[in-house]
Amino acid sequence: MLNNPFEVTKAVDFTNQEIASRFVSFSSAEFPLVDPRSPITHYLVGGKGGGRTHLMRFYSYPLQKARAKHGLLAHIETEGYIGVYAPASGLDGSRFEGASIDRGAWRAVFAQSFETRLVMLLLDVLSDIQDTESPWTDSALSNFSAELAHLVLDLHVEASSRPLHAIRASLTTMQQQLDAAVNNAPLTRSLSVGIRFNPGSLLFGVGMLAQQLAGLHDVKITYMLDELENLTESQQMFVNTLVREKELPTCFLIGAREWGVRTYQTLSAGEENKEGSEFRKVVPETAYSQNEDSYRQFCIAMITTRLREAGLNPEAADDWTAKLSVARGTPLMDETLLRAIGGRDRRHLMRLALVVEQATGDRELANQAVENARFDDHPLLEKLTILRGYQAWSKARVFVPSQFSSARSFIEPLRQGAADARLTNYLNLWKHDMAAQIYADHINEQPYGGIDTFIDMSGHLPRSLLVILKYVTSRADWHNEKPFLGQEFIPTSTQSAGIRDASGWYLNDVKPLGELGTHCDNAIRRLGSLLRDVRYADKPSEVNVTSFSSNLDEVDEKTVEVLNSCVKHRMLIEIVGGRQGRNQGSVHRKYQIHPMLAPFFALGFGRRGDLTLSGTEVKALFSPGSEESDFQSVAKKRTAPMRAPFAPPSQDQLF
Amino acid sequence: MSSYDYSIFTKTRLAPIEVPSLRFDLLISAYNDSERVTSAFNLINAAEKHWIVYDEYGYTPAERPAADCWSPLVGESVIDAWERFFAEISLDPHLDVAIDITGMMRPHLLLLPLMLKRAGLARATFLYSDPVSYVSGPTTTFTKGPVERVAVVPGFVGTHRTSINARDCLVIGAGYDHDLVKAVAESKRNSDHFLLVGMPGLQPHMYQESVYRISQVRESINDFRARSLLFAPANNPFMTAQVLSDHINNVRQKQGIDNIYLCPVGPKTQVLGFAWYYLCEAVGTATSLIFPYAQRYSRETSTGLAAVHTFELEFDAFQ
Repeated sequence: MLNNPFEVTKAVDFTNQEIASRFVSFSSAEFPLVDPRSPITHYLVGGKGGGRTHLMRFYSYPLQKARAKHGLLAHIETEGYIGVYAPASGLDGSRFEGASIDRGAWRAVFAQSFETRLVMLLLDVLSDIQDTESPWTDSALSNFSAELAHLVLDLHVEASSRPLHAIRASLTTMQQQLDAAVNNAPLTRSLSVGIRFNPGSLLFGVGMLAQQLAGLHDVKITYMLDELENLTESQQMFVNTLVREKELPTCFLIGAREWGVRTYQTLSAGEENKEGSEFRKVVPETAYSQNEDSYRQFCIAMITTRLREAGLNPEAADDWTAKLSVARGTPLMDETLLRAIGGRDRRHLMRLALVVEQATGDRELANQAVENARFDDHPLLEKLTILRGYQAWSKARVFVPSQFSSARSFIEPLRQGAADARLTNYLNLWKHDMAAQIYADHINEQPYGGIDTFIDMSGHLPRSLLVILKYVTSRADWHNEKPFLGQEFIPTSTQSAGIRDASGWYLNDVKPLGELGTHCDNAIRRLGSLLRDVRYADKPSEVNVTSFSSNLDEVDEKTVEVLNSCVKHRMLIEIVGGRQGRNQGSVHRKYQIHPMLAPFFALGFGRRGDLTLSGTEVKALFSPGSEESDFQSVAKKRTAPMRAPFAPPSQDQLF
Repeated sequence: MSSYDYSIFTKTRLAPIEVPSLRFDLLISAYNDSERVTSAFNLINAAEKHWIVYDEYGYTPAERPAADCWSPLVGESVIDAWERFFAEISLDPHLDVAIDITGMMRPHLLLLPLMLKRAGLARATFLYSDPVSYVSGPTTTFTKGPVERVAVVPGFVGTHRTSINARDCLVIGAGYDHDLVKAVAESKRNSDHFLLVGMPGLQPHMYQESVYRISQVRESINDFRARSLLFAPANNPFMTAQVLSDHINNVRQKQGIDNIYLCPVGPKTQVLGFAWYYLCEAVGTATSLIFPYAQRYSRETSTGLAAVHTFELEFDAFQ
């Protein structure tokens, strides 16, 4: 039986060979997204699951070696760089703090440890090249090692026939002594470490020495520092200083989650590195979102590659996404909606009767309104008629029977297949929200399905797409629906359930650590709840609402911090350019709830309407100090005008 | 093959009715609202008794126990706190000392055997009380506040191998707090991940509940499958140490693992087992303990007192 090709969703679970065989390029460029040979430092930042680690590992030396079909050094010369992959988690940065030791001392020791470690990794690469095809003479290597030894004070190197190994061993000993001093500091309360070289001198020096080796003259040495978020602000300042002061051929490619870049400050007289000057920031999701067609092709290629690697024959792999097809149905969705309602009473008609009778005290008027709205075979037309009637009622603020007879006249041509452009537009605008209300009213989960839905939902995070596929195919497997055999569709119910699983996972997975995580979690749950209340209101103020905008007037710093953290952790997406304010002409900041979270709150995926929120309302949602009762009060006030009877019962009605 | 046989250490299990037979010169216990903690403190005979009250439980002065109690200072390192505590109670290394670890903060517990040895003790009795059940069943959390950071445990840091092909392994001692498991696993994304779970659990239903909780964060655990799970009895730190010893020897020898990270976030007995393994076998190797530090912990997580376990720690077992 075929192993689930979507079981592994993280690059760390792949061997180098698997990384190579499953790599899919986003573009036709030799080096997509970032060029590891670039003399300017690139920060590859983004949300969790953007493909950063997969890309950095693909660029790293072990994969370069695997790609070298006609000589390793020749291949490196052709590619123009050596990629030294160094995840920051291996540094255990938390060792370099506390124990009542001065922060400056810790910073100096961290710098020594950091540079030594990177140089040791480079020496491993050079040794491996030498062990593979011996391109360098003993004399060249002896000179290299001797000159490297001069970069470090009092570094004793044993005479050896393998100079690279000997200098590596000396650096290892030095590193172990440093580690021992650092590790014992909490118990000894002292840090007895000699500073053996100036910041940058070892790292940049060894790069220049390597250039003297045959074949490396025009080759960049690119240190790929992944997981920068594992370093403290002070430690990142040292990395930033290296970025600022860097000397070719040494280059850096830095990987981090967006929230993990704590500072761009350096230790160079407090200077800050500037984007476009000292570094360039590349966000994979942004690149993907700028070319939706390419992103779709990229996703399909990723799926197909995995299926083929798992053993599916090429033809079946290429056609596999058809198994996720969902029945299109008729424009009015009659069959699916009638099935959703089943034998139950129609809740929307019952509610209409209730609110009209509440407003007028007249059961006959209520029955008339219901009769005007009734389309037995077309539940969607009933919902659209009621919506139209509610819209007129809300505008007039009083109930008038003609509101629902007019609404019927407006909607009726849809039944007859004679809708004009205005009516067709009305149908297209409200169809999905009204269908969603019918599902919700009749105790049905929202149906989701289809590869395009999955891709939209991923929010340009490829890993999220894989997680969706994993949950969907796992469920299909449990139901014995043979997700990787034959051509039968995976039922929409299975796809929907898998999507909801993935959405729940995402909500738990992306929230930040610490107190901020709790605040972000609360805020997103409140926002999702408010958007859901709007979508499922009698008269939603917006179509397919998944976004909000605000001028953030009088919003305090702590609230903005939570809002920004939600963006950095991909719970929200900030829309570039914002939105023009409706009254003052000012530009509002605009945010969309991440599409991975939409099913959790039974929302749609598009970004059609947005809710304009005042600063006070934003605070009720996002402020760490906002109580649940504050939010409930704001949400109630906000959605009250969307609920029939649209005016207090005491207000006079015309009938 | 293990280089160490942990079955040489002594443990006993006492029913609640047998607990008053325990006699010590000095009893130290960490205060919280759990019945098993307060009952054991009252039932055990000792000439001198001290409560430790942790700020992380958030007790107000009025809520603290009336008996003699001591607290670490806010921001004080664990090593400093233990040294100050021993100095303030004038700890006599020749006394027969018992420490109830049931309510103890894990970072403090991890360092306790080492700090007792540094204080001159040759041995001590560690006590742990089994609950009848946890308050909220499978949804119980012990960590009330969120995880603030994952960091090495000072004093338990090894010298790790740096290499382009170095392989790391993370063993998480898992209990009910799946968010802690997630935080730790994600802090060591480039490691092989293993989870050590209590089997049998402290009570029969607890194994299933903890595995259910772990499954909620499976996406954060690298290559999560049946082989990712290791099992050791939840109430036996020596067996925990033995399982760790066997597993780590195995992955080092057969899988070429270089660097080991250990993180106990499960029952306190398991935490003690991790510390004991480290002290007995891992000092000076490429092994470190890491921990997800949180600001607040639940005060009351269990009901009843089912049994009291005693573990005799002999500090000449390590250097």
